[in-house]
Amino acid sequence: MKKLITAGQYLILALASLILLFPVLYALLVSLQNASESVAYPPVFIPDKLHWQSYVKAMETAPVFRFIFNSFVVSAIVTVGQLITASLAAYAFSFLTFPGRNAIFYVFLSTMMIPWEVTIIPNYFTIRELNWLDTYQGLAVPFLASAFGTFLLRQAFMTLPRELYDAARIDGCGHFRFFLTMVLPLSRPALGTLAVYSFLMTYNQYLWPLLVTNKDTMRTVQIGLAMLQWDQAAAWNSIMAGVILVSLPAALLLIAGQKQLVRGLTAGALKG
Amino acid sequence: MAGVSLRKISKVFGTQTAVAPMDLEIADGEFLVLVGPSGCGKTTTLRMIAGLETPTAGEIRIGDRDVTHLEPKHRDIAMVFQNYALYPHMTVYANMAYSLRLRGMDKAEVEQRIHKASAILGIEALLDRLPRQLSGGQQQRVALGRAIVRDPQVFLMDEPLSNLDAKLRVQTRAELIKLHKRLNTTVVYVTHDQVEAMTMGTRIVVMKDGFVQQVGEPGVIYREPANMFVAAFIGSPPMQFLRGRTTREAGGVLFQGNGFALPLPAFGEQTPIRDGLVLGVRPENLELTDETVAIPTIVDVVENIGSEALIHGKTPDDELIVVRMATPETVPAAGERIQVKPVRGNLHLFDADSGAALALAKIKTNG
Repeated sequence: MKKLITAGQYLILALASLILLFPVLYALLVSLQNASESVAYPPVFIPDKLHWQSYVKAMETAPVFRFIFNSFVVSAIVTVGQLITASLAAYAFSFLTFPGRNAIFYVFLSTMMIPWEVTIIPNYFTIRELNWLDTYQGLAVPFLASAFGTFLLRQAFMTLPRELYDAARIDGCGHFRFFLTMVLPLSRPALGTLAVYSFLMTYNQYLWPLLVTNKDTMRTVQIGLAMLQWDQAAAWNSIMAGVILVSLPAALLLIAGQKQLVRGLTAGALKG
Repeated sequence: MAGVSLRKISKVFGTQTAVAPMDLEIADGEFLVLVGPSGCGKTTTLRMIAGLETPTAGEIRIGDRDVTHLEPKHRDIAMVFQNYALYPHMTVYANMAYSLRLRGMDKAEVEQRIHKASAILGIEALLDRLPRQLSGGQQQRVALGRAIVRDPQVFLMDEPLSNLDAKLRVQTRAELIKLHKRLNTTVVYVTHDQVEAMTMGTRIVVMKDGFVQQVGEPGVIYREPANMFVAAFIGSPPMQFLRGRTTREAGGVLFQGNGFALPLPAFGEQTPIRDGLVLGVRPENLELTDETVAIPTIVDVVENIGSEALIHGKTPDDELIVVRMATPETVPAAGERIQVKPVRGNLHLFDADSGAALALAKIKTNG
């Protein structure tokens, strides 16, 4: 009986994961089909043989690796920037005492409730005024600070015992040294979470890169994919080949950082 | 090494007075224990000496320096915390070396100091481990080691034994006493445990609600408590209190409780003769007696642990009374009626309203 229940549970989970994985799986299969298979009706799932030429075609049509490189640069700048600004702000909110600390923190938090779309126009004007259209800084700078990251790290920092700070102070540690030698090393899980999260968020951005880039050489992956779709009209196998190519780095990062991401997010949630 | 003097220091948090203005002279090499129930201001006092809290008013001196406004690191103190506050990501060696490195001490001297301190504490084998790989007792030693390597003028300890299990606590208590004898450095030690206070302190400061109740050597605090709070807080089981009044009879002072009268020949001429008094007797000074002039008691519970027995009883007025029998051979049963009488030690008279000690008399034992 117990075995039967376990088998049932596995069956349900397997089905659910199949449903979730189906789009990815289907994209992979289509990318390996030839042009006629990819538009056949009723749809063909399994290609008769592995047709790698759609990948070649995708790379010929659009500078896919350039897109991936651009996305990587922007995502890396944003990730590093957010780690620096969020950890410093979070330190102030958790270890410094100054008048209005909580009030300022709540103002910080409330910015999380302002949808990004509301600020997109003024941000666009600012970037244009700075002549930053079609530049990496134009893509990255608006995202260098994040209320979410500050919140996440503050919650993590607050779990450090107060006595640690007292002990370090007696040992002769100032705020900055304490931040660098104690708080950061002890908050590695939360920092890892924020890093993976902000990297993936930036990697997946669509609207902002679309607004501030016009040259092909500055396009990021998501825009590049859309470009592929226009150029290739109905060549689904090439489009899917592009999709698989650009999602590979993100997928690898997610697999590598999965544990970190889940642990950090839930830890913040539980202790918040 | 240096003494510490607190001059009219106080701490107010918002509207809450954590420590009322207090004066205290801690001699060089003294082991001073601040003891009291939680919220009495003992930890706040310690943190003010450490420099982790700024006093609202008053002055703190360590040796001949005014340190009131100095940063903790400039006070030449070391502190041991209740949860040890070891740096979790650093090895034991790095934990001990941290403060020395920040001071810019050269490597050879750091190493020499750490080896000396770890030899004293018996933690040489643990130097490469991380705190989480240590047992509670070992972590406690490392915390002590981190304090010792600094060779400070004053050790500050905030309930350092309270996270240890009972057996280890007793053992470490004795080791701390030995350590103090060996280093001969001034120690200010905070605890809520009166046994620790009595066994470790060369002097004890009893605090309550931010006010110092009494300062003195453990024996003096025990034998001559300044008020009912101190009398009840120090000693286990605590001093027993019986309400009543005194009258003067031919034979001397007579204490009239509720449902009994007890002649107290030990009290002299100066004894207050009035209503609203409390008679205080320690349980070990009470004995069961056949005499009729005594406190009639009905036995509630008997706790016999072999070496001693505690008889919990009630007087006719339902006041609780505990008698401690040393080497009990026969003990009364629950529900039995017994007679109880103070036969040795000190008798105390307190004011029932203020709790202040009014008179003290030693019972003469004539065999």
